[in-house]
Amino acid sequence: MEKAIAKEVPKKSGEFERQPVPPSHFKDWRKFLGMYAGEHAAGTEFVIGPLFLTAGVSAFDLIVGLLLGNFLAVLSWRYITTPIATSQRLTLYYKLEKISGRKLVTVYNMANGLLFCFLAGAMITVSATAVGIPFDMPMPALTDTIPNSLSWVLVVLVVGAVISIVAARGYNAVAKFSNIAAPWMVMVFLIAGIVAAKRLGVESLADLWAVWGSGSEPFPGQIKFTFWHVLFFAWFCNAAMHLGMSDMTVLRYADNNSIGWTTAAGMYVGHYMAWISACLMFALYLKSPEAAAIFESGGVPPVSPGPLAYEVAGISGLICVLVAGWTTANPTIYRAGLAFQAIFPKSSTAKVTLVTGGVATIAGLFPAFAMKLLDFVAVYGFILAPIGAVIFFEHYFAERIGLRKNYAEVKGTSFNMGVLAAWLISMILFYGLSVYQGVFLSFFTFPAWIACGLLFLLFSKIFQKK
Amino acid sequence: MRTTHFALFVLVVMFSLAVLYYMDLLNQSRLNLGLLICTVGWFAGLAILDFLKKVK
Repeated sequence: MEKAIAKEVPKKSGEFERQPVPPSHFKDWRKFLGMYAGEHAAGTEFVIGPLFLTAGVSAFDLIVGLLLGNFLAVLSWRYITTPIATSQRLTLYYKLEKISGRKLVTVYNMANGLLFCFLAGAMITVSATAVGIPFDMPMPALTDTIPNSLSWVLVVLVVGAVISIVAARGYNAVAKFSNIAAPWMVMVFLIAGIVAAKRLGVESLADLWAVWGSGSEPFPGQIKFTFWHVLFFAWFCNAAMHLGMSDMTVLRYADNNSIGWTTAAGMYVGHYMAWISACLMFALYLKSPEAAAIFESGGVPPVSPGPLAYEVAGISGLICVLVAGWTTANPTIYRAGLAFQAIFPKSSTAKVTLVTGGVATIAGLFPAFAMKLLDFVAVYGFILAPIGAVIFFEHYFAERIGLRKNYAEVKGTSFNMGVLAAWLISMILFYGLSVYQGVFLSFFTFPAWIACGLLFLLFSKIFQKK
Repeated sequence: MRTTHFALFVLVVMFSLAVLYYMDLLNQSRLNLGLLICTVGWFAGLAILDFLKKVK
């Protein structure tokens, strides 16, 4: 999912960062189809798939929940993000700056940058599980939160250092490599799923259904996932991109609104086929004598993408895990670096990217970020999505209720308090509800988004009257 | 266009290997070897084609 970040990385100047994209630069659906299909098959898919199994999900809940949840995500891109992107033709950052002011964009960048650092840390963890295999490194268990061995620390530090240096020095080369590797990675995901299915004895749809059956008790430390958990997770794991309007930056190049449908390629390749493949790989591992021995001793089997992929696809599987983690972590670190650089504009990009890579590497040392990826991705979408509501509600309702559009730009202010208040109140309210009631956070992403939009209109009415 | 044909060819070979495995016509080690050859072929082939395109 997270490789979607790659496309957001602002390129060199002259790519219409502060002006609408002219019609001569519009692109047709073919450009978007390939981009979305490749970008959502990332390193994290190797972890998210197995984590569904650890949450005790049933076959129906997983297969149908993902099918519908991904469709709702596609609808969000098509009917919420794309119409505004093609109408405004601006990046999220510039549009946000017009509404909320430059300083609030800095706050948004800070939140974005920090979340990207932790996400990149999870990618480094994923890559480290592949690199560690030849060294017989003990893999972190599902319940591990801190590093479990010295070899783990060393491997993560080396992988993190290489990724950070490359991100700082050769971003473009890795971006190109990432594009080349994407179709191959998708094929390895598919083959891994086919091989795992064969070894599990799946010869029909009924057999596939039987692999998960009616679900099980969740593993220690995991919450039980039902159909609704799967559906809402699939819908909102990329909420920052669709409801959060982050993809305005990409879709502003679309020559018509129907291009929003091309996101289906990303959803059904990366978030359906790849997740189910990874699930099958983990299901195969759970049937192994090693996993049985861990269960018998009262332990929890590890979710280690490296060994899982090696078991079904050999060295190619290992390379796939390494490449998937690396090509995703690279733009994530670079992107986080750019976000932080906006806050410290005098620092060089390379220096900020290196420091960001260092933070991501430290995060990668702690397996908790990867092992709790379902929760982390839910938090990521929940925090960034409400900002998109500000743009959506301003676009459709501001003039109808007599509000000025692009208030910060018109007023010449660098900080629109109404936007910050709406964002914070909606976040704190629904995060508090989630913690207090013990409800999965993705259930509250949409209510928080709506609340943020309504509060923004209310506060704007009050502030603009003043 | 040549790059696209090459890429499609390698992907078809990879998928065919998986189908052969599924039909019990290939064992795991042969499949792993085939996939590794395809992987090396994919990256080396595309790099060579890219280089040739630049030379031209």
